[in-house]
Amino acid sequence: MRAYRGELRKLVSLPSVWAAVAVGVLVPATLTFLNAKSAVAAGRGGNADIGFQELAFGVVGAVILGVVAVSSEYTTEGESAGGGRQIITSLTAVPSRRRLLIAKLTAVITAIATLAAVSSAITLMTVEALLDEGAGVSGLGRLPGVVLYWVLTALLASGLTLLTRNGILPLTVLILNTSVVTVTYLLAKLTPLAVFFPDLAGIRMFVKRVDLPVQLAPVTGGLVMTAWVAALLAAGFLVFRGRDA
Amino acid sequence: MTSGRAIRAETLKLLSLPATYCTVLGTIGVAMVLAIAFSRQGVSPVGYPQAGFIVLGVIAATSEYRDGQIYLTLIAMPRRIVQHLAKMAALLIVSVPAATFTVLVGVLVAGGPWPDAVGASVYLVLTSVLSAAVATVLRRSVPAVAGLLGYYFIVGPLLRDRVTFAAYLPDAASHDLVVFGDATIVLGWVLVAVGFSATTFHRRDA
Repeated sequence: MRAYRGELRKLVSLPSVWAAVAVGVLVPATLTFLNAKSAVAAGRGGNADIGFQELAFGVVGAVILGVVAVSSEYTTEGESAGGGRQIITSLTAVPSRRRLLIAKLTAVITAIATLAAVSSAITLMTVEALLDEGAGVSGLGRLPGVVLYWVLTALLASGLTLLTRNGILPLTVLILNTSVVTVTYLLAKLTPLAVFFPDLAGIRMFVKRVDLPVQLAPVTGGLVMTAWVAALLAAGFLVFRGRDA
Repeated sequence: MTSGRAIRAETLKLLSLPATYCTVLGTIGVAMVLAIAFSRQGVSPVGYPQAGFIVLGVIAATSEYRDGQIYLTLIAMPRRIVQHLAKMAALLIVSVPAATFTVLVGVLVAGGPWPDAVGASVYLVLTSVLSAAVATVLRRSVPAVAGLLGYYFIVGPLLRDRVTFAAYLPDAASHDLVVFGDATIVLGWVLVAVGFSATTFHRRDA
């Protein structure tokens, strides 16, 4: 419990985490505002997914937070601080690697679940305010899907960073794959198997209409994504336990 | 004479980093795979590979700050403006062949007009310099990579269809490449960014 509180404190003290929070709130809200405005200007209501599609882009905030939570432990502090890394101090304070990792991941889950809930509330209220119809409050049933998608994506990012110990590679891969036309989406045009990639499967939890060759049910999509995350975290834990800090 | 030696030193430093080789080879490999996989869907040869050049520019700038190497650099070369420009020149020496090769691979595999290839290479090189300028101001690799990739792959593409000034933004050329017209806009951004990073680097404590 104290390890968990410590990890939460570490997260709150990182400027990058606050930047990730700003990204996670502002990107979907601004985008929804622009899309809803143009829908109103064109004289049509929003489609069933307005607000939710934009929340799928906002997950980049979760990616940054998930990466930074791990990579900040491995940043060299520079000559003036003896060239040390925070992970040495963290393992001195919490010597059990399993406990440290569980505490850290729980802190990430707490932060992302809060962020996702706040961001979804702001985005869906924007939809409700600008469009009479649209998903809005009626889409409340899909909210757990959004929160779960953000949490799982952040854990995926943390798991990848545990393997690489450096933020650049996971950030590049995951941000590229949040872009407007994602690599996995293009792959889905080549092979139907691509719908089992974690992002395409996970997005089915809350986006109704996707242009994919195989339509997974929301629960199946969530399970597929959870399996990916569990596998990556297991690999990350084994590597983290086995090697020198 | 001094600037020649400064450029040589900066090139040696950049070429001594394993991350440089990983980034360049990774970018060329990924560009090749994507060109083979997506040639029929008309994916721009610049689109995804530009991420590699962004990372290359960031690494070139932030590697100085990881272990306090910047102190040694400034003892050896106290004239900061010359040092900064030499670093950019060294980045050019590495990124020009890398960009040419990346674009050639794309054009050879997917097929495409040759004049576009020149414009695409110029764009990739300028993007790496722009990233290095941004990273010099930020001095940390993770925020620089997150900010630049977030702009180039999320904010930029979303602004493209929605605002009128999108054609004048630095990522406009990645979308539809008019041979040198858009490269000029990027060049303008690069000059502004390098001017800003040189001033910042000159004025603040290392």
